[in-house]
Amino acid sequence: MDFQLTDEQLMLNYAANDEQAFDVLYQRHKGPVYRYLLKSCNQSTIAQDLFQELWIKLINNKEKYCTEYAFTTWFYTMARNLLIDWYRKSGKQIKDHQPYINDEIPDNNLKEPESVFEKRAMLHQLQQALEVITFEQREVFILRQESNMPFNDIAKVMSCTTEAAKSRYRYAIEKIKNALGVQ
Amino acid sequence: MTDNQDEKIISNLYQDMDKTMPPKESDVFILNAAHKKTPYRFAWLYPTSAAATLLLTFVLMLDSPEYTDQQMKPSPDIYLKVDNEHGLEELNEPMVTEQPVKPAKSPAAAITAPVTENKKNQQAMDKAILSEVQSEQKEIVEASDDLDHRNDSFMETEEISKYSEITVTGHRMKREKTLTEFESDNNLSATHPGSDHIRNTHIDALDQAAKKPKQKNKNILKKSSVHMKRALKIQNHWAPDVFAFKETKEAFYKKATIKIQKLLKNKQYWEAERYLSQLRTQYPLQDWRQLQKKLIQARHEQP
Repeated sequence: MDFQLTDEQLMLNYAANDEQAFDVLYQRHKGPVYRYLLKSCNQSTIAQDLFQELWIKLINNKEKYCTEYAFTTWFYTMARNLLIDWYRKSGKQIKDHQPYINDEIPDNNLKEPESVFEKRAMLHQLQQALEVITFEQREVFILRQESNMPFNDIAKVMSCTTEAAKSRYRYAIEKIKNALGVQ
Repeated sequence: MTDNQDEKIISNLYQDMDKTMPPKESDVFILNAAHKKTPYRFAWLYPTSAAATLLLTFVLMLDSPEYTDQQMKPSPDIYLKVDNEHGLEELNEPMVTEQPVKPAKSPAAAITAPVTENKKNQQAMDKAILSEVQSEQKEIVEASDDLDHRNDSFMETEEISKYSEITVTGHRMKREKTLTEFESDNNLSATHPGSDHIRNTHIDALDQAAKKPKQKNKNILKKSSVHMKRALKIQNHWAPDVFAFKETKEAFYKKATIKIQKLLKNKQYWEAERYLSQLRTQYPLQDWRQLQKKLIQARHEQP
């Protein structure tokens, strides 16, 4: 399998019953999508269910995919719709959402104790900053950071204009910057 | 610091913050679903196995003792069917069929147990039949009374009388038969479609004749006779036993006389008297005077 193929080509190959194309797609997107779901619903069990449901939906609707939209746009739109459905079914409101906080901060490349301490402090501040920003701003920020999507695709996923997506992202960055004390 | 640099720092921080991945169970589940790992089965196996199952069940059913027993057993309707050859007196006695006797454990039980079981079964059967017959009798009597009432209305017309005699006797015969003989024979019940048709055609014809002047009555009655013949054909089709009995009336009369003579020979006067009275009530239109005379003579000759 050629790993240089784009997501759209891989998806088309999978629609033509190329199962290896699916493996590549899965390896590329499983982490970002899972983290997006996890940080959006804040429950690992729910995130796992939604994650499985999302991929099964992709498998069942592989023939419906068309190259009019980017794969990530199509895929994250499905993920967002699943999230919204879950919010509706569970009776929760998006306002009630609390951001996902991971206490296990990785320190792979940090050998010096001071730098480790500084890094952990920064990450803790970042997590606190993510609590401050609104759900829409956080969503744009996570989509941008996880999937590196362009703003026009993020706007399509979130059903808003590109300018709105950009402004939400800008506000999110500014609030995080203030929370981190970056000048 | 520019905005882009701030963004880069924040994004680097974010990338370092969390690298959570989905659990391996989810990976296995999703990849299995994508690859559709289902065991392969030969397509031709399904119809072949279905046909083999059907054939096997059919063979087993043929070999099973229950199936053969059901085939050999007489249906319960055999008790209720009419046998004209054996006369009327046998109709009240249900035909006794031999039931298979189960092997008993001890010789004493072998003698007693099957007999008692058979008797109990017969009694239960007789009770059930009697209750059914009684309920049917009530319905039949009510229906036949209604029929007689209607028949009396057209007995006044002379032209119809020759046809009406047949129908009246037919109805009465049917009534009498249903009371005693054809108790459970559904083909001859009062609600029989043939009898309904005959009754309706007569009533319609008579109503028309009564309404119109007398000169036209002949034509109407001719038409009615045609209707009658048709109706008789229908009745003959639906209830052939009634007319078969009428045709073999003489043969039946002979049989009855032979039966009474036998009873008189055996000096069973009381039985003969009872049988004759039964015949008289059942078939009042028949001439039983000769048999009555014979019976009286036999009684006088009694020592």
